[in-house]
Amino acid sequence: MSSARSGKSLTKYKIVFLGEQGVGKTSLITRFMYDTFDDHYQATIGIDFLSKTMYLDDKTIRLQLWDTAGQERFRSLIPSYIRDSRVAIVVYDITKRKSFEFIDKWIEDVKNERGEENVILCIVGNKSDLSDERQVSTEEGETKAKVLGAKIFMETSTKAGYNVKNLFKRIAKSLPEFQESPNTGVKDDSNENNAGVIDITTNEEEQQASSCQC
Amino acid sequence: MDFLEYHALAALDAPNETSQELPEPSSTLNLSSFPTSGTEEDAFKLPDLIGGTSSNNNSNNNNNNNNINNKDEENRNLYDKMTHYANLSMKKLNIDDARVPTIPTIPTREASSSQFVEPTRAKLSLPDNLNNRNKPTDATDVVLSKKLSKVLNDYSLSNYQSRSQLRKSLQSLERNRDKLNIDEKRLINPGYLGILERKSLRSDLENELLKDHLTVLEEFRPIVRRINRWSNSVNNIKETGQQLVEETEADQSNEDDSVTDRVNQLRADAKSLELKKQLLIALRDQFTLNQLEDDIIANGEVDLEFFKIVDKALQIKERATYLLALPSSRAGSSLISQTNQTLSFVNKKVFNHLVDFLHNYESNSQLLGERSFDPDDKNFILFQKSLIYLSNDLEHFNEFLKRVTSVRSKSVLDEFLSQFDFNPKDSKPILLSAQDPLRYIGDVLANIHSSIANEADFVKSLFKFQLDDSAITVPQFNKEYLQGLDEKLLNETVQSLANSCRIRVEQIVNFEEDPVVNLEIARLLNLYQLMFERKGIRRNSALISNLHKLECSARGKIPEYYVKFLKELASLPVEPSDDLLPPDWLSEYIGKIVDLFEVYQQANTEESHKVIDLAFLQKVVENPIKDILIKRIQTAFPLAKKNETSRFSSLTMQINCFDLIKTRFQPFTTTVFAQDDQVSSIFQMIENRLNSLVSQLLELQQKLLFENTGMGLYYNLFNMIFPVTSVQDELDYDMYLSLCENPLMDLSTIEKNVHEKLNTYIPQALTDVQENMLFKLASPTIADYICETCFSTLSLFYVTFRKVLMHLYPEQKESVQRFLNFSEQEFNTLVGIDQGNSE
Repeated sequence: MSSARSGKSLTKYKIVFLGEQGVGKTSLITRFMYDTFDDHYQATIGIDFLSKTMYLDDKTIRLQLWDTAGQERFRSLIPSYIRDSRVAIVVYDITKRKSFEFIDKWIEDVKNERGEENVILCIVGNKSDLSDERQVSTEEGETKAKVLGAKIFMETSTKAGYNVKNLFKRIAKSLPEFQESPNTGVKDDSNENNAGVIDITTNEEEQQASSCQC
Repeated sequence: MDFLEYHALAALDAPNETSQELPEPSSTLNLSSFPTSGTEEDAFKLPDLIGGTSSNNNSNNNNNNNNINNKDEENRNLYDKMTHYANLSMKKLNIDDARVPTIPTIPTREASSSQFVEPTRAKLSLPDNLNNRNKPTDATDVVLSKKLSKVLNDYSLSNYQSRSQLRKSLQSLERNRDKLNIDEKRLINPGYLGILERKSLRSDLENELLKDHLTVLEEFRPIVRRINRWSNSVNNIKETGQQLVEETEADQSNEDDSVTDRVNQLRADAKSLELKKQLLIALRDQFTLNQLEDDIIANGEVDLEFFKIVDKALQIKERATYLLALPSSRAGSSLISQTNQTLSFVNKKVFNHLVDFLHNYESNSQLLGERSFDPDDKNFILFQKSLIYLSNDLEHFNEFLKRVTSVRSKSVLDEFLSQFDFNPKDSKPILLSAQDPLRYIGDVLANIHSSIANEADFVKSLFKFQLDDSAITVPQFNKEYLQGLDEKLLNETVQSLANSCRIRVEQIVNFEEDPVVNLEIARLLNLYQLMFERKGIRRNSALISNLHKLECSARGKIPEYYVKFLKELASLPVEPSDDLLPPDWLSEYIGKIVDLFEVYQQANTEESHKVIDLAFLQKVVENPIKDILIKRIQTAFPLAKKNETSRFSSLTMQINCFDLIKTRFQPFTTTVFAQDDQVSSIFQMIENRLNSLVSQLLELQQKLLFENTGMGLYYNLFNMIFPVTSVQDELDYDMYLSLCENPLMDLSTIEKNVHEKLNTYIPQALTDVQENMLFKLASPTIADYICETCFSTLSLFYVTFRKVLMHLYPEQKESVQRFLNFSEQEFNTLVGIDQGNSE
């Protein structure tokens, strides 16, 4: 009776979004939360948060998404938010090489705060719909993700809604909640980092999702 | 089965003994209903109808009576013939003793009876035919046939209705065969026994009928008896009624309608009483709870059924208020008081239920991690329904909210404080670093921000009501308490962090002196106020108020630093350095201001204007310059007013200081000094002051230069008559004709005053000015400007002076050229003026 009265268990995970100004951190969150996209750019002031409950594989988790401002004047705030985040998503703009080059600095900040092991690092190349203006290739992104030890690399388009759900699904699946047998998770990760092995399952999923969303 | 007509058989030839062929029938005769007698002999024998007929002399066989004797022989033959054919038939049918029962076969009979064949004329005429033609038959059969024929004939003459009635009678008889114990064998016995049997059957039937009739009549007996018993009363009523009518008729003229009225009145009363009863029943249903409902309220669990009853109690209360409008409000007030008692009990029960739910949630959250509810969760719906109900009782409602706030506040505060504890298993604790106090404040505020996020999740999951949702009905007047309840609780819960947060930030703000750090702290605090407000924390809440106070404190400390700095100047010596450069304190002071301006410039936002505004700039920039800097320089050069050298040094130092200030502040003219006209006037003041000082120095430098060349006297003289700079051409030289009368303008005097000095000083003038006099000016631009302007003026005057003298004394040109021995070109070259420029 008592357990029934107090609802079901829910684990909360903090995810911090990092990256230069205008790469699409807020629109990534907006796309995931409300499945919308606003053409009108508005810079984030300070730090904002949104919560979303996610149901996956009969499990429920709550993702607390912390959206940081890319402007220089708010930089000093960000380390305080990385401090207790389980996942760090570093976003760059595939049409702006500079935003890609700054990834190293962001990742370094994350590692300074969280160490190497205690955080799930994700690198996201946004604005993949602007293929004509592309300045950073997918391969470059993948290579950088491997070099920097990011578990997840993905190219997304928040405007077209491409790969956004997949990104969060992959993030969710890499959380401890979904890693019942730790070996599986490690295997997956190692597969991803292993140049000789191609994770067909993931690719299929992505392709399906992309074909569906496009 | 078809039979051969009797007369047709008679017409046949006598059969041979060997003949096995049966004659074919020419017409049908259904005798299936005739049972075969068990007493018959093995060899079939026709009944001796002829004999029977002759002995009984049946009057019905009138047609045959006359021919009896003549045809006796013929009939005998016929008899034999029939016997023969009967035997053959029997043989063909293989009827033997074993197979032919002695008693007529029931199935055959049943078959025939069940399949009732309507009597036809052919059948019915059979006995007649038999009577007519078969004389040698048994007498009893004849009698029976006769009777049967009579009966059947009688019915055959009647209509179809009669026949069907007969059929029904026979069917009825057939059905009740067992009940009536009909012994068919005896019944069809042609003998006396048969007659008796039939008679007894008839009498039995009649008895049965009578019995039935008697039974029916018996049933009527009590009714009759009752009717008899009431008959007297009825008669009495009848008589009384009659009497009343008569009396009424008799008294109609004399009496009024009082009785009728009375009857009507009584009837109305009765109706009214009936209505009253209905009304009272309805009132009972509308104004009271039944026993079961009372029990559920007293002892039942708080569930949806419970709330249905509570709703009813609320309705009772609402209805009871209408009763107050009655002349006597006692019923209403007592009912309200009673219902209030019930509702008060319900409130306490709901309150306890909610508190129980809350503690349960908290303990489970602590043990098993955070909880969540689906929107359609039964317990969650019940919780919200309970809370909505409790909003009717503000005392308990607020008490519950207090409990929620208290429980959650504790939990939030514990969580907040745990971040400062050092626990190697967890993430890094928040530590105060001397190098980075800003980070510490950032961590503290980020931690609070995180607590707000978590708490917002919690309150939204439980206390956010979809008041427009039709699933939950909320009374209109309760909406104001429930609307925004989540935000209210969030605000109240996070207030517990206000003091802890204040203490931690205060310890930095109180001891931090650096104006830049203080500005950043103020800005950070301001930003967090904005972010917290955006998440629903009220501006007037303790948390934001504290942050605001801290922000003001940090902001207030910014000018304090400068004020303190300037105060400390009093103890510093005012002696200027030899190089007349700005004092170190000024460089440091301006450097600190510039650092502040740089930080300000990074985020030129509204909150920054609050920090660096007109008052601040007046306090930190304008007033110190006017009151402190200039005074200190004046103090350093007390003879500046009397001694030109001292004045020159004073001006040089002032120019150096103002130039430094202007140069450092120059990048902020479009930001810090562009806030409004008053603010920009401060920078304008610095510029003007510098320009003024430069002009003063220029003037002094010029004066010294003219004095050193001996032309100072003449320069003043010329300018008194007509400004030298305004001379355009030779015609203007005439302006100075009046000077000829002045003894100073005597050429010998001029030569004496000018020639030597000019020739001595001009060759070294440029070096003297640049390397000695203006050398201490920190700004080469200003030095160049002064230098160039001075020598240009000197050159212009020299040339004009020379030309005017030659114009005034045309006959003594050579003399003039002698003591003003430098040509224009030579003079300009010596003082370092570009020819092109001078022209």
